[in-house]
Amino acid sequence: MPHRPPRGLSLLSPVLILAVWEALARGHLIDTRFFPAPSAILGATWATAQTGELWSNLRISLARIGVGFALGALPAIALGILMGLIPWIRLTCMPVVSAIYPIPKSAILPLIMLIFGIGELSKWVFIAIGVFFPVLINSMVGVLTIDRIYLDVGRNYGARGLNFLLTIALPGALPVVFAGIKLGLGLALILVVIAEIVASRAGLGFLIWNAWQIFDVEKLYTGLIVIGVLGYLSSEAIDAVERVVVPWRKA
Amino acid sequence: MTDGPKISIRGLRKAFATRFGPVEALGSLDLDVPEGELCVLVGPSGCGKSTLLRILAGLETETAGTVEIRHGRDRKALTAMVFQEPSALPWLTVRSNVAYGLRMQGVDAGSRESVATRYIEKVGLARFARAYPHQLSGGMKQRVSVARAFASDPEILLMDEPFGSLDELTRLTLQGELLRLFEETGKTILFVTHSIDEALTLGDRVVVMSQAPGRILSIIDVPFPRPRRAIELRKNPEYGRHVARIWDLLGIDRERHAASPA
Repeated sequence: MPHRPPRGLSLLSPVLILAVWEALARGHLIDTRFFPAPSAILGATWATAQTGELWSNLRISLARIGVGFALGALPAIALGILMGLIPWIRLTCMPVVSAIYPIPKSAILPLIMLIFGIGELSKWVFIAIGVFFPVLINSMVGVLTIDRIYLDVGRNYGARGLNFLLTIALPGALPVVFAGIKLGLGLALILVVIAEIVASRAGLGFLIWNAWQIFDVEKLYTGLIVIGVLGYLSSEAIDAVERVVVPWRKA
Repeated sequence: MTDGPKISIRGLRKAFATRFGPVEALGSLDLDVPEGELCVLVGPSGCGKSTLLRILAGLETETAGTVEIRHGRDRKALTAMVFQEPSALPWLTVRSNVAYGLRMQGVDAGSRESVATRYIEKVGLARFARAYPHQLSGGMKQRVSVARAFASDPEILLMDEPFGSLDELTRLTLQGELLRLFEETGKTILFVTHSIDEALTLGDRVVVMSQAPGRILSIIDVPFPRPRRAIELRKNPEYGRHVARIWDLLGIDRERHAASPA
Protein backbone atom coordinates (compact mmCIF):
# COMPACT_ATOMS: atom_id res chain seq x y z
CA MET A 1 0.00 0.00 0.00
CA PRO A 2 1.41 3.41 -0.91
CA HIS A 3 2.24 5.75 1.96
CA ARG A 4 -0.19 8.61 2.46
CA PRO A 5 1.82 11.84 2.56
CA PRO A 6 1.37 13.62 5.92
CA ARG A 7 -1.39 16.23 5.89
CA GLY A 8 0.76 19.23 6.77
CA LEU A 9 3.09 18.75 3.81
CA SER A 10 1.57 21.51 1.71
CA LEU A 11 2.38 23.98 4.49
CA LEU A 12 6.03 23.01 4.57
CA SER A 13 7.36 25.01 1.62
CA PRO A 14 5.69 28.35 2.47
CA VAL A 15 6.74 28.07 6.11
CA LEU A 16 10.29 27.27 5.06
CA ILE A 17 10.47 30.21 2.65
CA LEU A 18 9.12 32.62 5.29
CA ALA A 19 11.59 31.34 7.87
CA VAL A 20 14.56 31.79 5.52
CA TRP A 21 13.28 35.22 4.50
CA GLU A 22 12.92 36.26 8.15
CA ALA A 23 16.43 35.04 8.97
CA LEU A 24 17.98 36.79 5.97
CA ALA A 25 16.18 40.05 6.78
CA ARG A 26 17.22 39.97 10.45
CA GLY A 27 20.80 39.23 9.49
CA HIS A 28 20.63 42.13 7.01
CA LEU A 29 21.75 39.77 4.28
CA ILE A 30 18.98 41.16 2.04
CA ASP A 31 18.00 44.78 1.56
CA THR A 32 15.14 45.28 4.01
CA ARG A 33 14.08 48.44 2.19
CA PHE A 34 12.78 46.14 -0.56
CA PHE A 35 12.30 42.94 1.39
CA PRO A 36 11.21 43.80 4.92
CA ALA A 37 11.05 40.87 7.34
CA PRO A 38 7.76 38.92 7.29
CA SER A 39 7.28 39.83 10.94
CA ALA A 40 7.56 43.53 10.04
CA ILE A 41 5.01 43.10 7.23
CA LEU A 42 2.68 41.32 9.64
CA GLY A 43 3.08 44.19 12.09
CA ALA A 44 2.29 46.74 9.40
CA THR A 45 -0.74 44.73 8.31
CA TRP A 46 -1.96 44.63 11.90
CA ALA A 47 -1.51 48.36 12.25
CA THR A 48 -3.37 49.06 8.99
CA ALA A 49 -6.17 46.87 10.21
CA GLN A 50 -6.23 48.61 13.60
CA THR A 51 -6.64 52.07 12.12
CA GLY A 52 -9.46 50.83 9.87
CA GLU A 53 -7.56 51.90 6.77
CA LEU A 54 -7.38 48.30 5.55
CA TRP A 55 -11.07 47.57 6.08
CA SER A 56 -12.40 50.72 4.44
CA ASN A 57 -10.25 50.14 1.36
CA LEU A 58 -11.13 46.46 1.27
CA ARG A 59 -14.83 47.25 1.56
CA ILE A 60 -14.66 49.71 -1.33
CA SER A 61 -12.82 47.26 -3.59
CA LEU A 62 -15.23 44.45 -2.71
CA ALA A 63 -18.23 46.63 -3.55
CA ARG A 64 -16.71 47.53 -6.93
CA ILE A 65 -15.97 43.86 -7.67
CA GLY A 66 -19.45 42.84 -6.58
CA VAL A 67 -21.34 45.37 -8.67
CA GLY A 68 -19.04 45.09 -11.68
CA PHE A 69 -19.10 41.31 -11.59
CA ALA A 70 -22.89 41.15 -11.41
CA LEU A 71 -23.24 43.72 -14.21
CA GLY A 72 -20.94 41.66 -16.42
CA ALA A 73 -21.75 38.07 -15.52
CA LEU A 74 -25.55 38.08 -15.52
CA PRO A 75 -26.09 39.41 -19.06
CA ALA A 76 -23.17 37.26 -20.21
CA ILE A 77 -24.82 34.07 -18.94
CA ALA A 78 -28.14 34.99 -20.55
CA LEU A 79 -26.67 35.99 -23.91
CA GLY A 80 -24.13 33.14 -23.90
CA ILE A 81 -26.83 30.52 -23.43
CA LEU A 82 -28.96 32.06 -26.18
CA MET A 83 -25.91 32.09 -28.46
CA GLY A 84 -25.40 28.41 -27.70
CA LEU A 85 -29.02 27.55 -28.40
CA ILE A 86 -29.88 29.69 -31.40
CA PRO A 87 -27.52 29.60 -34.40
CA TRP A 88 -28.53 32.96 -35.89
CA ILE A 89 -27.87 34.79 -32.60
CA ARG A 90 -24.49 33.04 -32.39
CA LEU A 91 -23.59 33.93 -35.97
CA THR A 92 -24.67 37.54 -35.47
CA CYS A 93 -22.81 38.13 -32.22
CA MET A 94 -19.67 36.06 -32.70
CA PRO A 95 -17.73 38.45 -35.01
CA VAL A 96 -18.23 41.32 -32.56
CA VAL A 97 -17.20 39.16 -29.63
CA SER A 98 -14.12 37.86 -31.44
CA ALA A 99 -13.10 41.41 -32.32
CA ILE A 100 -13.47 42.93 -28.85
CA TYR A 101 -12.44 39.99 -26.67
CA PRO A 102 -8.68 40.01 -27.45
CA ILE A 103 -8.24 43.75 -26.69
CA PRO A 104 -6.43 44.02 -23.34
CA LYS A 105 -9.01 45.41 -20.94
CA SER A 106 -6.50 47.86 -19.49
CA ALA A 107 -6.29 49.46 -22.94
CA ILE A 108 -10.01 50.24 -22.78
CA LEU A 109 -9.79 52.00 -19.41
CA PRO A 110 -9.00 55.51 -20.77
CA LEU A 111 -11.99 55.31 -23.10
CA ILE A 112 -14.22 54.13 -20.29
CA MET A 113 -13.11 56.99 -18.06
CA LEU A 114 -13.74 59.39 -20.90
CA ILE A 115 -17.28 58.14 -21.32
CA PHE A 116 -18.27 57.32 -17.74
CA GLY A 117 -16.11 59.74 -15.75
CA ILE A 118 -13.71 58.76 -13.00
CA GLY A 119 -16.33 57.87 -10.40
CA GLU A 120 -17.71 54.48 -9.35
CA LEU A 121 -19.61 53.98 -12.58
CA SER A 122 -16.46 53.75 -14.70
CA LYS A 123 -15.01 51.13 -12.31
CA TRP A 124 -18.17 49.04 -12.52
CA VAL A 125 -18.24 49.24 -16.30
CA PHE A 126 -14.54 48.42 -16.55
CA ILE A 127 -14.86 45.32 -14.38
CA ALA A 128 -18.13 44.33 -16.05
CA ILE A 129 -16.56 44.37 -19.51
CA GLY A 130 -13.68 42.25 -18.30
CA VAL A 131 -15.98 39.70 -16.66
CA PHE A 132 -18.47 39.68 -19.53
CA PHE A 133 -16.35 37.94 -22.18
CA PRO A 134 -15.03 34.84 -20.41
CA VAL A 135 -18.47 34.22 -18.88
CA LEU A 136 -20.19 34.76 -22.25
CA ILE A 137 -17.90 32.43 -24.16
CA ASN A 138 -18.02 29.72 -21.50
CA SER A 139 -21.81 29.89 -21.30
CA MET A 140 -22.06 29.50 -25.06
CA VAL A 141 -19.58 26.64 -25.14
CA GLY A 142 -21.39 25.09 -22.18
CA VAL A 143 -24.58 24.84 -24.22
CA LEU A 144 -22.80 23.72 -27.38
CA THR A 145 -21.05 20.87 -25.57
CA ILE A 146 -24.16 19.43 -23.92
CA ASP A 147 -24.34 15.79 -24.89
CA ARG A 148 -26.76 15.49 -27.81
CA ILE A 149 -28.65 12.71 -26.10
CA TYR A 150 -29.95 15.14 -23.43
CA LEU A 151 -31.21 17.51 -26.12
CA ASP A 152 -33.01 14.53 -27.69
CA VAL A 153 -34.53 13.60 -24.32
CA GLY A 154 -35.80 17.17 -23.87
CA ARG A 155 -37.30 17.31 -27.32
CA ASN A 156 -38.81 13.83 -27.14
CA TYR A 157 -40.48 14.59 -23.80
CA GLY A 158 -41.91 17.82 -25.15
CA ALA A 159 -39.65 20.45 -23.56
CA ARG A 160 -40.11 23.64 -25.60
CA GLY A 161 -39.04 27.26 -25.24
CA LEU A 162 -38.55 28.32 -21.65
CA ASN A 163 -39.02 24.73 -20.42
CA PHE A 164 -36.18 23.58 -22.64
CA LEU A 165 -34.00 26.47 -21.48
CA LEU A 166 -34.60 25.82 -17.79
CA THR A 167 -34.58 22.01 -17.72
CA ILE A 168 -32.00 21.17 -20.41
CA ALA A 169 -29.86 24.05 -21.67
CA LEU A 170 -29.13 25.90 -18.43
CA PRO A 171 -28.42 22.93 -16.16
CA GLY A 172 -26.53 21.19 -18.96
CA ALA A 173 -24.28 24.21 -19.45
CA LEU A 174 -23.85 25.03 -15.77
CA PRO A 175 -20.55 23.19 -15.09
CA VAL A 176 -18.86 25.09 -17.94
CA VAL A 177 -20.60 28.35 -16.97
CA PHE A 178 -18.96 27.99 -13.57
CA ALA A 179 -15.54 27.64 -15.16
CA GLY A 180 -16.27 30.98 -16.88
CA ILE A 181 -17.39 32.56 -13.61
CA LYS A 182 -14.12 31.52 -11.97
CA LEU A 183 -12.11 33.08 -14.80
CA GLY A 184 -14.28 36.19 -14.64
CA LEU A 185 -13.85 36.63 -10.91
CA GLY A 186 -10.07 36.32 -11.21
CA LEU A 187 -10.15 38.97 -13.90
CA ALA A 188 -12.37 41.24 -11.79
CA LEU A 189 -9.72 41.21 -9.07
CA ILE A 190 -7.01 42.26 -11.53
CA LEU A 191 -9.16 44.97 -13.08
CA VAL A 192 -10.29 46.53 -9.81
CA VAL A 193 -6.65 47.01 -8.80
CA ILE A 194 -5.76 48.52 -12.18
CA ALA A 195 -8.71 50.91 -12.04
CA GLU A 196 -7.87 51.97 -8.49
CA ILE A 197 -4.21 52.55 -9.27
CA VAL A 198 -5.08 54.70 -12.25
CA ALA A 199 -7.94 56.74 -10.90
CA SER A 200 -9.09 56.37 -7.34
CA ARG A 201 -8.54 57.77 -3.86
CA ALA A 202 -9.66 54.52 -2.22
CA GLY A 203 -9.54 50.75 -2.55
CA LEU A 204 -6.81 48.12 -2.40
CA GLY A 205 -5.21 49.36 -5.62
CA PHE A 206 -5.02 52.84 -4.15
CA LEU A 207 -3.58 51.42 -0.91
CA ILE A 208 -0.75 49.81 -2.87
CA TRP A 209 -0.13 52.81 -5.12
CA ASN A 210 -0.22 55.20 -2.19
CA ALA A 211 2.22 53.01 -0.25
CA TRP A 212 4.59 53.16 -3.21
CA GLN A 213 4.28 56.92 -3.44
CA ILE A 214 5.14 57.43 0.22
CA PHE A 215 7.66 54.56 0.13
CA ASP A 216 5.86 52.59 2.84
CA VAL A 217 7.11 49.19 1.66
CA GLU A 218 5.52 47.20 4.49
CA LYS A 219 2.09 48.59 3.63
CA LEU A 220 2.74 47.80 -0.02
CA TYR A 221 3.24 44.17 0.97
CA THR A 222 0.09 44.34 3.07
CA GLY A 223 -1.88 45.25 -0.04
CA LEU A 224 -0.39 42.32 -1.92
CA ILE A 225 -1.16 39.89 0.87
CA VAL A 226 -4.75 41.04 1.18
CA ILE A 227 -5.29 40.72 -2.56
CA GLY A 228 -3.77 37.24 -2.51
CA VAL A 229 -6.02 36.15 0.35
CA LEU A 230 -9.01 37.72 -1.40
CA GLY A 231 -8.27 35.77 -4.58
CA TYR A 232 -7.97 32.54 -2.64
CA LEU A 233 -11.16 33.09 -0.65
CA SER A 234 -13.21 34.11 -3.68
CA SER A 235 -12.19 30.99 -5.54
CA GLU A 236 -13.10 28.87 -2.49
CA ALA A 237 -16.43 30.69 -2.26
CA ILE A 238 -17.22 29.96 -5.92
CA ASP A 239 -16.35 26.30 -5.37
CA ALA A 240 -18.73 26.20 -2.41
CA VAL A 241 -21.53 27.79 -4.44
CA GLU A 242 -20.83 25.34 -7.26
CA ARG A 243 -21.16 22.37 -4.92
CA VAL A 244 -24.63 23.59 -3.94
CA VAL A 245 -25.83 24.65 -7.41
CA VAL A 246 -24.27 21.77 -9.36
CA PRO A 247 -24.72 18.84 -6.97
CA TRP A 248 -24.66 16.28 -9.79
CA ARG A 249 -21.07 17.04 -10.61
CA LYS A 250 -18.73 14.20 -9.74
CA ALA A 251 -16.61 15.22 -6.75
CA MET B 1 -62.67 -1.48 -29.27
CA THR B 2 -60.15 -0.25 -31.79
CA ASP B 3 -60.58 1.62 -35.00
CA GLY B 4 -57.47 0.85 -36.98
CA PRO B 5 -53.87 0.31 -35.92
CA LYS B 6 -52.18 2.34 -33.20
CA ILE B 7 -49.17 3.05 -35.37
CA SER B 8 -49.51 3.21 -39.09
CA ILE B 9 -46.49 3.70 -41.35
CA ARG B 10 -46.98 4.15 -45.09
CA GLY B 11 -44.31 4.40 -47.78
CA LEU B 12 -41.79 5.77 -45.31
CA ARG B 13 -38.42 6.75 -46.75
CA LYS B 14 -35.51 8.57 -45.25
CA ALA B 15 -32.36 9.77 -46.97
CA PHE B 16 -29.51 11.62 -45.27
CA ALA B 17 -27.42 14.21 -47.04
CA THR B 18 -23.72 13.36 -46.75
CA ARG B 19 -20.54 14.62 -48.36
CA PHE B 20 -20.85 11.78 -50.86
CA GLY B 21 -24.40 12.63 -51.78
CA PRO B 22 -27.67 11.40 -50.36
CA VAL B 23 -27.59 8.06 -48.56
CA GLU B 24 -30.82 6.16 -48.22
CA ALA B 25 -31.39 4.85 -44.71
CA LEU B 26 -34.93 3.59 -45.06
CA GLY B 27 -36.39 2.09 -48.18
CA SER B 28 -40.08 2.32 -48.65
CA LEU B 29 -41.50 0.93 -45.44
CA ASP B 30 -45.07 -0.02 -44.55
CA LEU B 31 -46.02 -1.27 -41.10
CA ASP B 32 -49.08 -1.34 -38.88
CA VAL B 33 -48.82 -1.94 -35.17
CA PRO B 34 -52.07 -2.68 -33.32
CA GLU B 35 -52.76 -1.18 -29.91
CA GLY B 36 -51.17 -3.07 -27.01
CA GLU B 37 -48.63 -4.91 -29.14
CA LEU B 38 -44.94 -5.21 -28.40
CA CYS B 39 -43.47 -5.13 -31.87
CA VAL B 40 -39.75 -5.81 -32.24
CA LEU B 41 -37.60 -4.72 -35.18
CA VAL B 42 -34.44 -6.73 -35.85
CA GLY B 43 -31.95 -6.24 -38.62
CA PRO B 44 -28.31 -5.60 -39.38
CA SER B 45 -26.52 -2.46 -38.20
CA GLY B 46 -27.38 0.59 -40.20
CA CYS B 47 -30.61 -0.84 -41.56
CA GLY B 48 -32.52 2.23 -40.44
CA LYS B 49 -34.25 0.76 -37.38
CA SER B 50 -33.12 3.59 -35.16
CA THR B 51 -33.96 6.13 -37.84
CA LEU B 52 -37.51 4.81 -37.92
CA LEU B 53 -37.78 5.23 -34.15
CA ARG B 54 -36.32 8.72 -34.28
CA ILE B 55 -38.87 9.72 -36.92
CA LEU B 56 -41.69 8.42 -34.74
CA ALA B 57 -40.18 10.27 -31.76
CA GLY B 58 -40.18 13.53 -33.68
CA LEU B 59 -36.37 13.75 -33.65
CA GLU B 60 -35.99 13.32 -37.42
CA THR B 61 -38.24 14.20 -40.31
CA GLU B 62 -39.13 11.70 -43.02
CA THR B 63 -38.06 12.24 -46.62
CA ALA B 64 -41.26 10.73 -47.96
CA GLY B 65 -44.27 8.80 -46.73
CA THR B 66 -46.33 9.16 -43.56
CA VAL B 67 -46.27 7.99 -39.97
CA GLU B 68 -49.38 8.20 -37.89
CA ILE B 69 -49.85 7.53 -34.20
CA ARG B 70 -53.50 7.29 -33.26
CA HIS B 71 -54.45 9.43 -30.29
CA GLY B 72 -56.57 8.04 -27.48
CA ARG B 73 -59.37 10.12 -26.03
CA ASP B 74 -57.26 12.11 -23.55
CA ARG B 75 -54.45 14.22 -24.95
CA LYS B 76 -51.36 12.37 -23.88
CA ALA B 77 -47.83 12.79 -25.13
CA LEU B 78 -47.44 10.84 -28.37
CA THR B 79 -44.17 9.06 -27.65
CA ALA B 80 -41.57 8.41 -25.01
CA MET B 81 -38.23 7.01 -26.07
CA VAL B 82 -35.69 4.87 -24.25
CA PHE B 83 -32.30 5.36 -25.87
CA GLN B 84 -29.42 2.92 -26.06
CA GLU B 85 -26.95 5.21 -24.34
CA PRO B 86 -27.58 6.37 -20.78
CA SER B 87 -30.06 9.21 -21.09
CA ALA B 88 -31.07 9.98 -17.52
CA LEU B 89 -30.51 13.72 -17.17
CA PRO B 90 -27.40 14.11 -14.97
CA TRP B 91 -28.75 17.22 -13.23
CA LEU B 92 -31.93 15.57 -11.96
CA THR B 93 -32.35 13.01 -9.22
CA VAL B 94 -33.77 9.61 -10.10
CA ARG B 95 -37.19 10.75 -8.91
CA SER B 96 -37.13 13.97 -10.95
CA ASN B 97 -35.88 12.09 -13.99
CA VAL B 98 -38.76 9.63 -13.82
CA ALA B 99 -41.21 12.50 -13.32
CA TYR B 100 -39.67 14.56 -16.16
CA GLY B 101 -42.13 13.59 -18.90
CA LEU B 102 -45.10 14.38 -16.69
CA ARG B 103 -43.53 17.71 -15.68
CA MET B 104 -43.22 18.67 -19.35
CA GLN B 105 -46.89 17.76 -19.82
CA GLY B 106 -47.79 20.21 -17.06
CA VAL B 107 -48.89 17.60 -14.51
CA ASP B 108 -48.85 19.11 -11.01
CA ALA B 109 -45.98 18.30 -8.69
CA GLY B 110 -48.02 16.17 -6.29
CA SER B 111 -49.44 13.73 -8.85
CA ARG B 112 -46.25 13.39 -10.85
CA GLU B 113 -44.29 12.60 -7.67
CA SER B 114 -46.68 9.82 -6.78
CA VAL B 115 -46.64 8.35 -10.29
CA ALA B 116 -42.84 8.57 -10.36
CA THR B 117 -42.58 6.88 -6.98
CA ARG B 118 -44.77 4.03 -8.21
CA TYR B 119 -42.59 3.38 -11.28
CA ILE B 120 -39.36 3.78 -9.31
CA GLU B 121 -40.61 0.99 -7.07
CA LYS B 122 -41.58 -1.15 -10.07
CA VAL B 123 -38.02 -1.04 -11.39
CA GLY B 124 -36.53 -1.61 -7.93
CA LEU B 125 -34.87 1.77 -7.44
CA ALA B 126 -36.81 2.93 -4.36
CA ARG B 127 -33.62 3.23 -2.32
CA PHE B 128 -32.06 5.44 -4.99
CA ALA B 129 -34.92 7.87 -5.57
CA ARG B 130 -32.81 10.80 -4.35
CA ALA B 131 -29.56 9.71 -6.02
CA TYR B 132 -28.12 11.37 -9.11
CA PRO B 133 -27.46 9.27 -12.24
CA HIS B 134 -23.67 9.37 -11.87
CA GLN B 135 -24.08 7.44 -8.63
CA LEU B 136 -25.83 4.56 -10.44
CA SER B 137 -24.59 1.57 -12.42
CA GLY B 138 -25.30 1.22 -16.16
CA GLY B 139 -28.21 -1.15 -15.57
CA MET B 140 -29.74 1.18 -12.98
CA LYS B 141 -29.47 4.15 -15.36
CA GLN B 142 -31.39 2.19 -17.99
CA ARG B 143 -34.01 1.33 -15.37
CA VAL B 144 -34.43 5.06 -14.78
CA SER B 145 -34.97 5.63 -18.52
CA VAL B 146 -37.47 2.77 -18.75
CA ALA B 147 -39.34 4.03 -15.67
CA ARG B 148 -39.38 7.57 -17.09
CA ALA B 149 -40.87 6.35 -20.37
CA PHE B 150 -43.63 4.34 -18.67
CA ALA B 151 -44.34 7.04 -16.09
CA SER B 152 -44.95 9.68 -18.76
CA ASP B 153 -47.73 7.42 -20.06
CA PRO B 154 -47.47 8.24 -23.77
CA GLU B 155 -49.57 6.78 -26.58
CA ILE B 156 -46.63 4.58 -27.64
CA LEU B 157 -43.23 3.66 -26.21
CA LEU B 158 -40.15 3.59 -28.39
CA MET B 159 -37.14 1.55 -27.29
CA ASP B 160 -33.93 1.83 -29.26
CA GLU B 161 -31.73 -1.08 -28.16
CA PRO B 162 -32.22 -0.04 -24.55
CA PHE B 163 -30.33 -3.04 -23.18
CA GLY B 164 -27.73 -3.21 -25.95
CA SER B 165 -24.79 -2.00 -23.91
CA LEU B 166 -25.53 -4.02 -20.77
CA ASP B 167 -23.92 -7.27 -19.69
CA GLU B 168 -25.87 -10.48 -20.34
CA LEU B 169 -27.03 -10.93 -16.75
CA THR B 170 -28.29 -7.37 -16.35
CA ARG B 171 -29.92 -7.56 -19.75
CA LEU B 172 -31.91 -10.67 -18.81
CA THR B 173 -33.06 -9.03 -15.59
CA LEU B 174 -34.17 -5.88 -17.39
CA GLN B 175 -35.94 -7.91 -20.08
CA GLY B 176 -37.86 -9.60 -17.27
CA GLU B 177 -38.78 -6.24 -15.76
CA LEU B 178 -39.87 -4.88 -19.12
CA LEU B 179 -42.03 -7.97 -19.75
CA ARG B 180 -43.74 -7.41 -16.39
CA LEU B 181 -44.30 -3.69 -17.05
CA PHE B 182 -45.61 -4.37 -20.54
CA GLU B 183 -47.94 -7.12 -19.38
CA GLU B 184 -49.22 -4.89 -16.55
CA THR B 185 -49.76 -1.71 -18.54
CA GLY B 186 -50.66 -3.03 -22.00
CA LYS B 187 -48.79 -0.17 -23.67
CA THR B 188 -47.99 -0.26 -27.37
CA ILE B 189 -44.23 -0.68 -27.74
CA LEU B 190 -41.93 -0.51 -30.73
CA PHE B 191 -38.64 -2.10 -29.74
CA VAL B 192 -35.42 -2.16 -31.77
CA THR B 193 -32.70 -4.72 -31.10
CA HIS B 194 -29.75 -6.54 -32.64
CA SER B 195 -30.43 -9.59 -30.56
CA ILE B 196 -32.66 -12.33 -31.95
CA ASP B 197 -32.99 -13.80 -28.46
CA GLU B 198 -34.20 -10.48 -27.15
CA ALA B 199 -36.66 -10.12 -30.03
CA LEU B 200 -38.23 -13.54 -29.39
CA THR B 201 -38.27 -13.09 -25.63
CA LEU B 202 -40.12 -9.80 -25.73
CA GLY B 203 -42.06 -9.50 -28.96
CA ASP B 204 -45.58 -10.34 -30.05
CA ARG B 205 -44.28 -9.95 -33.59
CA VAL B 206 -40.75 -9.71 -34.92
CA VAL B 207 -40.20 -7.53 -37.96
CA VAL B 208 -37.05 -8.67 -39.78
CA MET B 209 -35.41 -5.90 -41.77
CA SER B 210 -32.92 -5.92 -44.62
CA GLN B 211 -29.64 -4.08 -44.85
CA ALA B 212 -29.75 -0.39 -45.75
CA PRO B 213 -31.87 0.99 -47.18
CA GLY B 214 -34.02 -0.84 -44.67
CA ARG B 215 -37.06 -2.68 -45.92
CA ILE B 216 -39.17 -5.35 -44.26
CA LEU B 217 -38.08 -8.88 -45.20
CA SER B 218 -40.60 -10.74 -43.13
CA ILE B 219 -42.87 -10.41 -40.12
CA ILE B 220 -42.91 -13.34 -37.72
CA ASP B 221 -45.67 -13.96 -35.21
CA VAL B 222 -44.20 -15.10 -31.92
CA PRO B 223 -46.50 -17.81 -30.57
CA PHE B 224 -45.30 -17.94 -26.94
CA PRO B 225 -48.07 -17.18 -24.44
CA ARG B 226 -47.80 -14.44 -21.84
CA PRO B 227 -46.86 -13.92 -19.08
CA ARG B 228 -43.44 -15.00 -20.31
CA ARG B 229 -40.30 -15.92 -18.43
CA ALA B 230 -37.11 -15.34 -20.39
CA ILE B 231 -35.34 -18.46 -19.12
CA GLU B 232 -38.35 -20.77 -19.55
CA LEU B 233 -38.72 -19.67 -23.18
CA ARG B 234 -35.20 -20.82 -24.01
CA LYS B 235 -36.17 -24.42 -23.11
CA ASN B 236 -39.07 -24.49 -25.58
CA PRO B 237 -38.14 -26.40 -28.78
CA GLU B 238 -40.22 -23.92 -30.78
CA TYR B 239 -37.83 -21.25 -29.59
CA GLY B 240 -34.80 -22.73 -31.36
CA ARG B 241 -36.79 -23.12 -34.58
CA HIS B 242 -37.74 -19.45 -34.53
CA VAL B 243 -34.16 -18.37 -33.86
CA ALA B 244 -33.00 -20.43 -36.82
CA ARG B 245 -35.71 -19.00 -39.05
CA ILE B 246 -34.75 -15.42 -38.31
CA TRP B 247 -31.08 -16.22 -38.88
CA ASP B 248 -32.08 -17.71 -42.22
CA LEU B 249 -33.98 -14.60 -43.18
CA LEU B 250 -31.06 -12.35 -42.32
CA GLY B 251 -28.55 -14.73 -43.96
CA ILE B 252 -30.48 -15.07 -47.21
CA ASP B 253 -30.53 -11.34 -47.48
CA ARG B 254 -26.75 -11.19 -47.01
CA GLU B 255 -26.16 -13.84 -49.73
CA ARG B 256 -28.37 -12.09 -52.20
CA HIS B 257 -26.45 -8.88 -51.64
CA ALA B 258 -23.15 -10.69 -52.08
CA ALA B 259 -24.36 -12.32 -55.28
CA SER B 260 -25.62 -9.15 -56.88
CA PRO B 261 -23.10 -7.46 -59.17
CA ALA B 262 -21.53 -4.37 -57.67
